[in-house]
Amino acid sequence: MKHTLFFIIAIVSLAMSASPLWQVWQSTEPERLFSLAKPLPTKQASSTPIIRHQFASHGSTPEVHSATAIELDNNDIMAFWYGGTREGHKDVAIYQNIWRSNDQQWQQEHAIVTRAHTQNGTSRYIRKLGNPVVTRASDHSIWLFYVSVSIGGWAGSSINLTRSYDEGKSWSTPKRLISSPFLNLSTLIKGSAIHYSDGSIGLPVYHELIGKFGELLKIDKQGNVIDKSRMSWGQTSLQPIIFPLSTKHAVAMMRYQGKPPNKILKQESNDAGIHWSKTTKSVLPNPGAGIMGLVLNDTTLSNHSTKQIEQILLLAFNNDPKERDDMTLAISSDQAQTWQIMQTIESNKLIPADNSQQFSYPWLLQTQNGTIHLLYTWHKNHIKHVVFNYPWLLSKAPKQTHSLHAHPTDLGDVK
Amino acid sequence: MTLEQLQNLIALSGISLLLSAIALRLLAILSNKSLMHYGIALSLFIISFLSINDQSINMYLRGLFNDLSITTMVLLSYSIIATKTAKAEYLVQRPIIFYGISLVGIFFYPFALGIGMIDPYRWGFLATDHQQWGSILIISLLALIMIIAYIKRNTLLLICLALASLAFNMHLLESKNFWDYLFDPVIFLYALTYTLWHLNSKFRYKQV
Repeated sequence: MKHTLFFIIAIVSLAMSASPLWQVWQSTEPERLFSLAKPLPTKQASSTPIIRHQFASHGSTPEVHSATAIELDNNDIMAFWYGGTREGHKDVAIYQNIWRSNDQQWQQEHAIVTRAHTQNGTSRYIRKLGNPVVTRASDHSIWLFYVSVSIGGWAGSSINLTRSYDEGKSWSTPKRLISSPFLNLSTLIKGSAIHYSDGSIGLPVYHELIGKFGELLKIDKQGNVIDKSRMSWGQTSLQPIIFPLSTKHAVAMMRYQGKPPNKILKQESNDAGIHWSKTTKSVLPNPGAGIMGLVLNDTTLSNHSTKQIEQILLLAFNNDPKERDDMTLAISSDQAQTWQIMQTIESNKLIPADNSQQFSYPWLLQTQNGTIHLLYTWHKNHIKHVVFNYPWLLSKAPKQTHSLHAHPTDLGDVK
Repeated sequence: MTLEQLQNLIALSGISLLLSAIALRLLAILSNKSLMHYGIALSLFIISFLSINDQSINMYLRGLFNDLSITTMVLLSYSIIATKTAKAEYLVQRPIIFYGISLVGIFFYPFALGIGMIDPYRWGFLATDHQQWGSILIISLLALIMIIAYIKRNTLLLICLALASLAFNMHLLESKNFWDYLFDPVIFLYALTYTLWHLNSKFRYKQV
């Protein structure tokens, strides 16, 4: 009797355990391809240089940081950032504000995600909130990812997701993303999301517990992490940003936090982010601060002789190996091989350096009319918003040209 | 009830189960009044769900531990039952599970946490893994463990693997990664401690 019972349990267990095989068998994922944005209509792009500075935040909180933004259907800009008494304080919330495209003015910001809201949604204790990243999903809903910490510092972060189906007027109950096997600890975000042809989202993330390295999460239409690829390993690379250049080819750049020389890291993928080349140091200096990039998507950039749209990469970064006291824009027209410094948005070189005076965590966005929006943390107490167009970017003679092949000793895997 | 609510309920129950099992074990050390112990453990299970200022004990602990794996939940449930009914069998059946979890975890966690470019955690995304050999490796490992469990007549191990597989297919935890259903750091640390203690005891016994 006992033997028969065991045999039955064994057969049933075997049948149940074979069920994951079904998922493997069913995993007919088509070839992984990036979904590239459609070129913007030529007629809307202005040839007159445009530049406009203003603040997106209005001092609702003493400290603000890490802005992210998206264009709405009516061409307004919706921005998000975290703000509170100070970074890591329990009163930190994710704030939302709208820039009206008709009068080009920011409204009054308000908190949309709080610690308590996240606690209730994820059924977990939450100690503090951090970096948000916004993107638009394939079903046109707005997805807002943001990190939260339940224990310890930022190395203990996990990612949450809340969605809006009404252009940011209301937000869904937050959902926790499971991305790490060790208590789901240490997955952080900063770079903008990319999109795949199957409608899933690629979210560049980074890990800070024990090691510091970049990863790329693949997130399905339901908001579940369904794959991830490691971009680097070791102790020095974080906050990857990805430039999809074709359906298979992408360049990534990362913030570097290792031994000098302090330079931005670069790497490539030729299989839509499944595998990544070794990280190499570029010659672009950076104090180990957040960077942001964008593939300019404007038909005015087309090459007149070939009738092909030139891929212009735009990078916002601190052009200094030590301090975050400038905000610089550089472009590359050869797939990040070389860069030209085009404009310095902020320049506040203080001697001696004053760390409270800083410009950091840039976010870039190009709207349907071709204008480019840069948001960044301004002295940690405001979110600055700069609107410009490509003609303005080119309106001054380039000051420097950085070649990534300039220094052979910079090449090699960075650990 | 939505799938997300069900996932939350299962995960929070897992944490409450952990609390009850620990309480039961501690009480068993102190005295033999087992019925009262079960009453206390059940009370603790219920209390851990009670919300004070939108925060319950199991929500707080879930913030720290994340979700426990299905294997851990099965073992905790078994531990609660075995405390009273099947102690001898329980002791006989444990080692192979804990040896296995320790062995896999020793290799799994360092790589999954960033040593090198190989990430075994990625292999657990069975439905989307582009390198199919990773998924095949996990399925082969599972099949091997099932065969060992069958040969060793280990019903508990068979049930653990079967329920973990079924729960993964039904997406009963928030994760879409098979590893998260098979084991977690809580059971790994317990298994590692147990294995080291058990091996040490065996070694000492042989020396005597």
